[in-house]
Amino acid sequence: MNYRMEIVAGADALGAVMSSQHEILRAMRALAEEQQQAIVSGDVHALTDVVEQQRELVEHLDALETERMTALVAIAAATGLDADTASLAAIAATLPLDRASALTRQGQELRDEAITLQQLQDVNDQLIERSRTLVDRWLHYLKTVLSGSLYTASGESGSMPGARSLDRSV
Amino acid sequence: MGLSVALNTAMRALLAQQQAMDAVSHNVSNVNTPGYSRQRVLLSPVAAPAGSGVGGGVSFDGVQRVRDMFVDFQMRQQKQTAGEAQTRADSLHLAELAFSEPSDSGLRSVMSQFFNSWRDLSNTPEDGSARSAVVQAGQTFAITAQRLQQGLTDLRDSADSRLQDSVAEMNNLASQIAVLNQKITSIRASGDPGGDLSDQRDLALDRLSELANVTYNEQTNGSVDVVLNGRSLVHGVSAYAIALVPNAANNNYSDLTWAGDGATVTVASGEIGGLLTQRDTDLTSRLVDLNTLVAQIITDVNAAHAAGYALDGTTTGTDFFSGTDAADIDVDAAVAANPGLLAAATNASAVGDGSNALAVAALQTANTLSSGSETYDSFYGGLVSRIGVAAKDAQSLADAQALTVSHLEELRQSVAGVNVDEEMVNLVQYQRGYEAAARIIRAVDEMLDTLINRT
Repeated sequence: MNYRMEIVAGADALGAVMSSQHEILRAMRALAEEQQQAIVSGDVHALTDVVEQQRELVEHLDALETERMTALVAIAAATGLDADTASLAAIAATLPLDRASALTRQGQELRDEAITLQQLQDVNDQLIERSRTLVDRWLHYLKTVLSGSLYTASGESGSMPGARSLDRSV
Repeated sequence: MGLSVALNTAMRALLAQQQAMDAVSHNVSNVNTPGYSRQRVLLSPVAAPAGSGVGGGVSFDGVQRVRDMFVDFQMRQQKQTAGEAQTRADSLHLAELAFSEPSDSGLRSVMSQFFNSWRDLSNTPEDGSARSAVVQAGQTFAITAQRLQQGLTDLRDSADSRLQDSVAEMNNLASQIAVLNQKITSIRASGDPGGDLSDQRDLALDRLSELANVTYNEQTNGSVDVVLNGRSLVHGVSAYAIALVPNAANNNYSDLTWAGDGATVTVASGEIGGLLTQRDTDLTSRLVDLNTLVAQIITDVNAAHAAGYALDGTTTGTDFFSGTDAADIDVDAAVAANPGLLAAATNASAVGDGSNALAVAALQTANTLSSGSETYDSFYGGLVSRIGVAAKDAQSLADAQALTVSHLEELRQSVAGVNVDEEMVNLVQYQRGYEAAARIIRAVDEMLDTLINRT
């Protein structure tokens, strides 16, 4: 395999990894939207489910990032670029025009998807912080103000039997 | 959807959640408030903006009391019966105690001692101590009968006194409901459901249902009308008082009338119904029975005694007892002062004749009551037995009703009650959920930073 063919093969491998990453980011965006609904509707069970799915996708994305770095190292070896700092534009400059534009477009789409996801994440982060503050405040209230009505020294509960008062049904 | 729109939508939804949490605070604060019903916030989903792909969150639709009207209805109906049954059971139990049978101090034993003393006298009619023993036994019988009569009368007085308190409480509750009706209709008109005021009114209705056989109906404007025996006790913001009018024909006990027009109020059940039954039926019939027995003994003993002759052999025609029934029975004053007046002899100037004393003693086993079918003892035994059975039945009914009310109370609490412990568990679950979500967001953010910077 000559020098140009090695670069093209490396770029194809990089493109395939980026395509997989794009798929994962799209799935993560859908989950982030679900997460937002779960937070605003106070559905902690749905939120927990989302977090589990997110965790799996993060692992997958992490593995793909390793693959992307491997592809970059291969390209760097063929082109003489520094694998740690090589940007997509620098790699594209070493490719034939059609391959270069395809890789650049793919990179842009991946970046756009990542930025959209990050924005959603920012919103969710703020919402979670607000919700946590609220819950922490009520936990503190219940633990302190009503400590006398929870359990006595003999383990008896002074509270009344019955249904829960926090009814989050919509 | 832009970042700011998404944030606004989500923040609005969070505010709705905050209102839900405020409802929690209110619920928890009232965990020990009698009659409190937990409240919940009504939230509804907001449609997503067209093409956004993201939901519009939730909106706050108001606060609702969690209450099961059917359980309330059942509870109040059962409480009416429970109130009546317990009142009757208490009264009959006290009546049973007043009779204190079987015991040496009970009327049965005292009555037996009285006739035995006559039997003893028939053996030794000249014996002064035997004569004194008859007078003494007669006085003991009279005092015991009077005490029993007074005990039952005291119970009636007590029932009448409690009746007056209960009617005053009923009038007070009716006024409270009318005032609460006014407040609730006003506050509902302004959009507030008035949950706490409704709880107060429900508490008043609960107690009112314990007192009397009331029915109620909630109007569309939120006010509750209360009806007692076909007439309005509360109608909207007006309460109609019940007055107590002394009835000279019934020991000056109070009759219940509508204060407005003086019409008679009939209360069939509830505590007031129970007190009326106790005062005018249960205790009265026992008093009538007691008086029937004592009056018969007075009549029979006096008739037999009057037919005999005193120790002097000439005095005749004297009564042994004075009075007409258990209220005023006593040993005739002259006889009590001079036991020699006891007419032990059937014939005049018959020294040693105790046959008339034996005739008086024989009354004990004669069927002189219930149209000649019962002796004093069997009549009295029936009276005591009827009280015992009635007291037992009333207590059984009261216990059964108390159990039913207790089950309904549990059912009501399961719907409307507040459980702080469970609330804690829920909140901890939320806390952990949010922490896990925050961690994963940070992990994703780090990866996205790398991705964005390297593409």
